[in-house]
Amino acid sequence: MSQNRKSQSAGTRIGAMLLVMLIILLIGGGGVGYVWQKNEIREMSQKKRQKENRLEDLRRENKMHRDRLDYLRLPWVLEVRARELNLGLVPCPPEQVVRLSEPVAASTALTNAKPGLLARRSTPGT
Amino acid sequence: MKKPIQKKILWLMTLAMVAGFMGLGYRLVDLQVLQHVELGEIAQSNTRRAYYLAAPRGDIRDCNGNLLATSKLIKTVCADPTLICNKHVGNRQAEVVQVLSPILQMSEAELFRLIQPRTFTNKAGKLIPDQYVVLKHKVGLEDWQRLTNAMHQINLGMEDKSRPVKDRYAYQRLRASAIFSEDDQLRVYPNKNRAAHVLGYVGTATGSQTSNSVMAAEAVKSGSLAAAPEFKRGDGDLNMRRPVEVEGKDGLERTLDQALKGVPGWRATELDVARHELVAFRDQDVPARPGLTAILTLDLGLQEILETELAEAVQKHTPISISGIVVRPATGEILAMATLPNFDPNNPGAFDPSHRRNRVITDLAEPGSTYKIVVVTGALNEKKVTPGELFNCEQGHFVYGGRVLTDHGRYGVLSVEQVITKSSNIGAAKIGIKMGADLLYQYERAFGFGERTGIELPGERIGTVYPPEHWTKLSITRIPMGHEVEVSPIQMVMAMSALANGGKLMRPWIVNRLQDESGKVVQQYQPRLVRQVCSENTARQMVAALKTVVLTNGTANKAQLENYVVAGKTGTAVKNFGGHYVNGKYFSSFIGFFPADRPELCISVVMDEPHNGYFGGQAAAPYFHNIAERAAKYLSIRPDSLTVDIMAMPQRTNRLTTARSR
Repeated sequence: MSQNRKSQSAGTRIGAMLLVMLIILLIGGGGVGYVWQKNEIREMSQKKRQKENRLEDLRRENKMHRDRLDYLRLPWVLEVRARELNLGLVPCPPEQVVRLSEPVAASTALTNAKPGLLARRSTPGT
Repeated sequence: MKKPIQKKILWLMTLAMVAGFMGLGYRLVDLQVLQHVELGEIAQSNTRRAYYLAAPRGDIRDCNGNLLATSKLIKTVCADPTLICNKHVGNRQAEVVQVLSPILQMSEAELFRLIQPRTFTNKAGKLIPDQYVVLKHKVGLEDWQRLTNAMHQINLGMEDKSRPVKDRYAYQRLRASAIFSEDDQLRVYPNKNRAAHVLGYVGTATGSQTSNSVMAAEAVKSGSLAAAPEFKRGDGDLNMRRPVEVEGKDGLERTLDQALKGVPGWRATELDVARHELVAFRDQDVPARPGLTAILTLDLGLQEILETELAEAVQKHTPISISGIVVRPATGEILAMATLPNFDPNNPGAFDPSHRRNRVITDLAEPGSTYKIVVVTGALNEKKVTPGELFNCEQGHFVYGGRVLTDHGRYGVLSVEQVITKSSNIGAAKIGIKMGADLLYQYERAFGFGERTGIELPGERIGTVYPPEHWTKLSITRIPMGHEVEVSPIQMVMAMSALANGGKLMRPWIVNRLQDESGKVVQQYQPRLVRQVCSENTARQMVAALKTVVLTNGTANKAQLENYVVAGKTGTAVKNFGGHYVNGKYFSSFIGFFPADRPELCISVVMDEPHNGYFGGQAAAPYFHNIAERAAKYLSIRPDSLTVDIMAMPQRTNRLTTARSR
């Protein structure tokens, strides 16, 4: 046996060493990779959470601004505002209203139109 | 050669190691197998959390997109008493209360009471410290932000690094987590009292789980949340703490509750030791589905006109109540509906319950002469009479069934059309007698009396219309003039709208469509024909008769409009208390539509016990006039007939002149 050991070439030993090193590298690399991957997952989780929070905040702000805009557009709010600013806005007096007699054809068409549809129709809501 | 002593030591060490490993092995089996269930629950309770994601309640808007009701995000502020008072930080209630009291505007005594440590018994019979106490509902976001900052800056003198780590950690948790919040919603009605009865109001939900709540409960039962004891603190099967839910209590808020409230979502996830979410370990993440937005047929501009005019009428006539409705006869769309006195839906509890009642659909009364349209329409439609047929009105004194029926004037012979013009009770009674009980009853039902109109508002009453077999001998003379029946204002206005609409009775509707957040229409509602009450020809004859009511010799000349021909009918009914008519107490009404030959709007004004004039033509008709005049301008309804002074145009002083078609 000792003769056999002595007869082993240096190349064989280097190969074994390389194999061992490779295994160690693989195991070590796998471990480091696992930790790195876990860390990445954690960081991405945090980023995702931050972005979710940001999105939520933006949605909330958007809703607040939308509500504020809707409030400012309310007819009675506009009326109060116009009064506050003293712009002198009043309904136009009858002498400023010009009414034109409608052409016969159009008038007939309107008269024959389905009742209830002549007045200003509602516009779609926002 | 090893010495015997060395062998002994080796054996002893081997034995000790084996014993040690056996001990460790036993402990391993004990922890992982024998105590697996209990310890697993504790481990999960430390890390796993499940909570609801609240769904924002949908808005309600008018036909022009004006906001009528919306929801504002607010907070419910809660506390965890175990973090405020424990062996690591000591009792810190006083310091915390000092921070909370000015911001939450609550007394210190009340806060002390709330954050007292207390325990409760769980399902397993164990005493568990209470970690959830609600301090205050409806806290604004700004106040919550101030509160968070104040808690983070609270100084308890525990930052000394010489203190044990556990103490410092407990101190950090006190500052960061002892006071926490849950999302909540506040329903806001920016127009305050406007259309309050239509919109209704909301209150705290009292019962049923939402569909997603049930699904979440199922998930908890069957899936990954099964072993999480943290979730067992909640209510019933759900195992999650339910957010404070609101539900519609009245009006459209109630009718459309399912559509408006949306569906809450839920999230099951894990937290790290610092209570930060580990997103990678999220088990279930079901987003909330926001409530739908309801777009109404109601027009805020018209509602404003209606309510301001009704308020004027209240000032002048001081009735117990007054109601008004504006309907588009061709479609049955309700454009405005109001009842005074009303209430502010932002704070409904501050008002008398009677103010919260929508009298338009709930209050029944004998309608009086407006009901004459039923008998005359029926008689004309059945060819029992013709518009020109004459009836002797007995000089206002008609004896029938041993009782005297009177008119408010001493009328002689009147045509059917004049019976309407003068609102003769005797004339209507004689038409009723000629028509017969069965036919009269048939037309009462055909006009929709004695049944719900189908409007999407809760609490509508059907009224009282007796079948002929329950009539007395006098009924045939009393019903034609609007006695011995009880109807609601909405039924009456829809009956009048049917005549304006060529005899077609439409279902009144107030919700135009439901749409989602992006504006996509989810449900579009359409006009619905209930039935053809009479022929178009009969309806035309009735319109012709109703036009005469507002002429100078009619009962409601104050309802005349400058640029439009109006058709309508007055009503003045003596109030009936327990079967007895009480003189001096009246229901006064006027229901009319215009332009009479192509009706755009049908408007009803009903007053309960007006003063300073009680006839429908005196009390209600002037307000019909005002509402109609303003509504016509607002909607730009084309005047009936125009002539323009062309010569005056260059000077821009041309004046509008009208020529009535009749």
